[in-house]
Amino acid sequence: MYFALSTAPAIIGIISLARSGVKWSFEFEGGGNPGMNHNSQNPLIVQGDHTVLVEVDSPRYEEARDHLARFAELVKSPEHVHTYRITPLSIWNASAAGMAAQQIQSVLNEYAKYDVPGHVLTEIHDFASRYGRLKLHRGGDVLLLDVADAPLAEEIWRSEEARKYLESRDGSAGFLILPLNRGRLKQALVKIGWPVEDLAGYVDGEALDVTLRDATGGGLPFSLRPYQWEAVNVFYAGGEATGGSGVITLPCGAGKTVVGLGVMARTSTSTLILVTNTTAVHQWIREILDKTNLRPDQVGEYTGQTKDIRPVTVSTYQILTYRRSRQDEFVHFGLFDGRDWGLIIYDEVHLLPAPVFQLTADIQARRRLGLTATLVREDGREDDVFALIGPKKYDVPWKVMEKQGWIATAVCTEVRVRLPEDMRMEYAVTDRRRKFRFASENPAKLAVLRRVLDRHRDEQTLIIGTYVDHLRAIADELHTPVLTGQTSNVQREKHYENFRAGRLRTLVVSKVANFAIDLPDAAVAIQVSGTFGSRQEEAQRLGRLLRPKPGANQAHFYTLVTRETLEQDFALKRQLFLTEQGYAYEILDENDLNRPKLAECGAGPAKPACRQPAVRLASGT
Amino acid sequence: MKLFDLDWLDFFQRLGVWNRLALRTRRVLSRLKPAKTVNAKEFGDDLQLLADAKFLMVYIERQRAKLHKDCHPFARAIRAMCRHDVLGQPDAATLQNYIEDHFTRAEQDALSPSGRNYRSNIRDLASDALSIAWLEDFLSLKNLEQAKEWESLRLRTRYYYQNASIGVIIESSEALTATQSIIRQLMSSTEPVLFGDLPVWFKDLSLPLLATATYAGIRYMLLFPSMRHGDMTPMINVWPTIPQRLHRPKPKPPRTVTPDQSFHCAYLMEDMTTVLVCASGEPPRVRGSDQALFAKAQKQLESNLTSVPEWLSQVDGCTSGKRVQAAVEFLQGLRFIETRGTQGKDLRLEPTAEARDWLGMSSRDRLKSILDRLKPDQSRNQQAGLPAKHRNMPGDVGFDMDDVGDAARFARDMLVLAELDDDDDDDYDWDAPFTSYDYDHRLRFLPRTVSWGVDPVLDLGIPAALIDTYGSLARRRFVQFSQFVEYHMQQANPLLSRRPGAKPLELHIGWSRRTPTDEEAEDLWGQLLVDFFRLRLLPLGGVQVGLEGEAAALCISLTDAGRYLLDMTKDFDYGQHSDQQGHIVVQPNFDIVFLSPAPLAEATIARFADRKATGTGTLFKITKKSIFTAASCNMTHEQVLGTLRDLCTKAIPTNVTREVRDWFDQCGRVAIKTTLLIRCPNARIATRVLEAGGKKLTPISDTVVELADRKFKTPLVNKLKETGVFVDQSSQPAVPKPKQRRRRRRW
Repeated sequence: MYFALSTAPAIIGIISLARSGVKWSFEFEGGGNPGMNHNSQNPLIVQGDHTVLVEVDSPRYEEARDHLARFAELVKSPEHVHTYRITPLSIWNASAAGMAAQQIQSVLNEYAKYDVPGHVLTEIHDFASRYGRLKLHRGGDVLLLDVADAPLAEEIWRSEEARKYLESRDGSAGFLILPLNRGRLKQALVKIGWPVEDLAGYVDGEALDVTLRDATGGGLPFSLRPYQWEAVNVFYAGGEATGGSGVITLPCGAGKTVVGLGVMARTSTSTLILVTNTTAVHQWIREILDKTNLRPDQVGEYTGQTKDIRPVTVSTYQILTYRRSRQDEFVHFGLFDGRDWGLIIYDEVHLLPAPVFQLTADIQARRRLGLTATLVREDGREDDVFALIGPKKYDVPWKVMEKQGWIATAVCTEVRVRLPEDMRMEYAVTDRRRKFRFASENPAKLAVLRRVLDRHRDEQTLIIGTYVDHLRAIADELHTPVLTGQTSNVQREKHYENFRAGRLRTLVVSKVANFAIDLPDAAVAIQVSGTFGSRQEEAQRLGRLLRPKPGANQAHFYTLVTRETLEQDFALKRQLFLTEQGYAYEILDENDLNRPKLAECGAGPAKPACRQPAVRLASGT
Repeated sequence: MKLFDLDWLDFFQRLGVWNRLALRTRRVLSRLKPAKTVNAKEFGDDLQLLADAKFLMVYIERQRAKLHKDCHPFARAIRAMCRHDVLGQPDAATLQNYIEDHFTRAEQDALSPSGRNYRSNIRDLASDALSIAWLEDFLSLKNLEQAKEWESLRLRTRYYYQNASIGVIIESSEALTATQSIIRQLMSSTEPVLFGDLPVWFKDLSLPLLATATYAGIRYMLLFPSMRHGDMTPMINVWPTIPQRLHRPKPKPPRTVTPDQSFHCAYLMEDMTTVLVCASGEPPRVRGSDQALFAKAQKQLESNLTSVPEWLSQVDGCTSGKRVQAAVEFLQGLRFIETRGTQGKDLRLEPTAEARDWLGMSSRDRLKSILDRLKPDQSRNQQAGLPAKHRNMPGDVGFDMDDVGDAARFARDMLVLAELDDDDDDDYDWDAPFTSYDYDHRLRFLPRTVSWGVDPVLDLGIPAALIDTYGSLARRRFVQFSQFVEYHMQQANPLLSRRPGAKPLELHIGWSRRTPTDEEAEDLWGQLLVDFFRLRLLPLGGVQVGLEGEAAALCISLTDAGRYLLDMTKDFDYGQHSDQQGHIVVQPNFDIVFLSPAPLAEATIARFADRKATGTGTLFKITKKSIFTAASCNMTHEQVLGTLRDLCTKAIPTNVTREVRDWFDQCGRVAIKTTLLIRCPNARIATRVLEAGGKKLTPISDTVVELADRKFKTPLVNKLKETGVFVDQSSQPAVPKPKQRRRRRRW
């Protein structure tokens, strides 16, 4: 009889909670209680990758969110748990707003469910300590960059990126800078991780008396909403050098244009406004004339058609970045020197093209206001916005505005439409690059479109799409006008006017409507096709609906997607984006449209759906 | 004896001078070798004293100094005492090094009880020497005759050509009594004694007698001299753990405690699930040389494992690397995963059809199927299915390697070694040759870190004793694990309290066999208790573990799953305890957020969602790919949505429900097989072909016929020939010859 021991008693120590002498010891390293402290009432979970999860249903959610929004960027806000991210830029934004690292750390510690990872606290301190160590002052004709200590000054002096913008040294911890290099230097320093606190001030610009009216041109009472006033005041900062440049983030429909007007009134100076397209130019001009004391002769349009430079001039990014060939110069850059501008407003700043960044770097002495719904740029150049336009000054989450009734509640619905049987084989053998368009132009969508229109027959409806031929076919079937890039501005304005006045219930629009059209009464949008999975496009299209609505204050955003095709895969990306923005998202089958709307459930019999035979639409450009 | 074979009377006489020296001088002297001269200034004020006492010879106008010839033995003893800190670090390794350094091979053989019969093993000798029985054996000598017999036994080996020692040391009754009294006195002291104090302690002994007794004690490994490094003072003692063991308090039965935090999860089962799920999506690649996972695959699997508390990962076997390894080996043992592909090209682990069925079960059923395989009666039966050469043969067979049973045991021992040497820098991979046929070694009730044999185990009743020991834990009551182990090692150790008349135990270490000491029996049982905990109960959810008190002491409580493994209950629940469920939310963007840790839920969700992190936060995302992987594992949308409904504290968003259902609807299973198509010129010929082939043929279209069974090709061709339908062989596309790989010459 035997038993075998494989090796000597040394193996007794195989468990790391090992035996010492003749006694077993099962105690864990570090002693104490190594578990996490847990406070279930708190809403924050701070993760090691610098993301912060916020539980919306927590009783302390609102206070935690208000604190958190000051130093973290909202990444996504789906229904129950929102995600924020702490980045160097977000910390510098907070520092610029006067928030210290200790305050940030104490907010996290106070509202966190579990212990905040030590390295996150350390890095917050590290990021925050970088802000304010470089200060830019005016010193006569030149600018002075004050550096907190000599080693840092030496590091900057030896940095290839920053060195070329430094004129000469001023003592051991300072540099002389030419005013022309002010923006580029800030840009270069941010890229190497050293933000500059710009206290060099601004030129006043040509004085212009701008006041906001008490009533609009149409006779309706007008005043800024409280959050709009707050945004204006935070930006202006009493005229101090600490204010005057930065970005205001408000959701679509929250009145960013009006905030811009408020800033114009507060600065009372000649203003250059840069927007994304001509339609937006007209919208701005209309708003300025409608809500301020400025006369038409004081407001100019600088576009492809008209080139008027007036005390207030509205222009587009396209015209500014126009050049005949890649070797030529930007012929319209002269607009920036066309007047002594005191304020430049960048609408949709997240779309600011790269050449305009270059130009903005040259005009750092003027006040700059960026307006956007999101600071997220598809090209990741958020740091350039920070360096050249300025830090984020004001931000209100979409859902907060919705809750307070400043913007409409949107319900997103994806309707899945089958590809007709006779087209399935054609789709299967189509080249992958063409598959998306093939699925987008699914003729069966027309019947579904009619059913959706039937559901909202009393509401102003936009039908939005990407492929012009497809849209024209739809417009023909529905006997409604279609707006594309080829539609003349006069014609476009006419259709808008009819739509606004309610003479037109349905309007078919192409991608031109993605940005800055003002259709205040559109309550329903039906997207028949999109540009693959573009998040920006989705946000902009939805934004068309978010202006407050009378009554239930609810907007409906439908997307028609061909089932089991590439289009459905791309629609998933859009779905993710919208749900991450916090919108309710419903997926319906085309047959589900025959059932009553969710809101109508239990409120009576369903309305009969309009059944139309599927119409094959022409494809091609 | 190599170094301590000296005149110990001279040592005691010189010790007085040594004690008067400054610390620095002692250090210099302890490093001074006979042929070496040093600067005389090194000895400072002690130079004259050392010269006068004939410790040193001073040369060249007192500039240089070297050891005096008479002092060489003393200096050698001092240097030897400095070599091993046997009293400061009394572990087995230190003792083995001590033995190797001080005793010749012949002396080791002679001293070792097993060596007298067969070639000794230092480990055996060390194990004997650190036992109380080793000393008691000497203390039991009653007179000089017995002593002479005892001593002569330790001075000769079975090999006539080996000389074990210089001669008898204990030549008188006084010497025997003196040696025994020194040993008794030191056994009663828990602290080592200064060498210089021995004459004071034993005033009634003359110095020559004391010196003889000391030498005898050292020569027969009853006493161990060592240097206290702090003040360079020579010390002597019996092996230090012996007094500690003699004076230790009697352990009390483990008391019930309340842990501050606890953890319960059958993470091995969950890890197996994770590996299978990952393997269903993308089979992990394995190396051709040793069939181990490639580092990239290993890393990927590790990142998908269910999280365990950080403190638990300190337990050996609970690190992510070892968890993956264990999961893969269990899966291989259960034949749930197989190595497929071409050696050196695309070797990978792929799940079997049984694995898909297993994955489709509930957590509890999956765990139960593993526990059923491990239960004691099952583990005995499973041997029956193995080829004879792979079985562990019972009985005490010889060591002839031609014997099948011995070869199997050899292989098994090597496996054990391989497992134990995981952390060592051992260049040779012992595991490699054996893993191919001994995968199921992990699928036994007893873990194999201590190898117990098979039938002898049943005779020894080890599994039953283990069941009794762990079965003594009260339900849902936590006890401190260290107290539990200590108590059962000492007070309820089945290896110590053998039934009357039972044969003595025999311990195998490598090639040697001998009776284990009480200390070894304690260690063995303690080791088994710990191993059964860390390799069976803990990873299979048999215990709930917790931390208690400021010292964060590990405590355990036996769960129903544990009771099931120990055959104490017929059924158990798993995965439905609400206290294990955290606050989990499915978001409309398909993220699954854990607002509090819930390892069980985490493991369940990992089957159908992509893991992003562990612990708390956004841990998973449901994606089309993850749902397709779940579908490939035979999961259904009802299971996925049902699981989410059970686990989540909020309603599942409708878009998620809809999308999951749609993704499942898109899934289907097809079979790819090689077949032969017979193309006929017209429908009439096709009909004749069908008539000739009968049921072997299937019409695909009017003119194309399928022959699924390739073996029937030649008979069909012949049959068709007879009916006037000729097969045009040249119309078959030429099969390209596979490129012959150029053989690389291996040097």
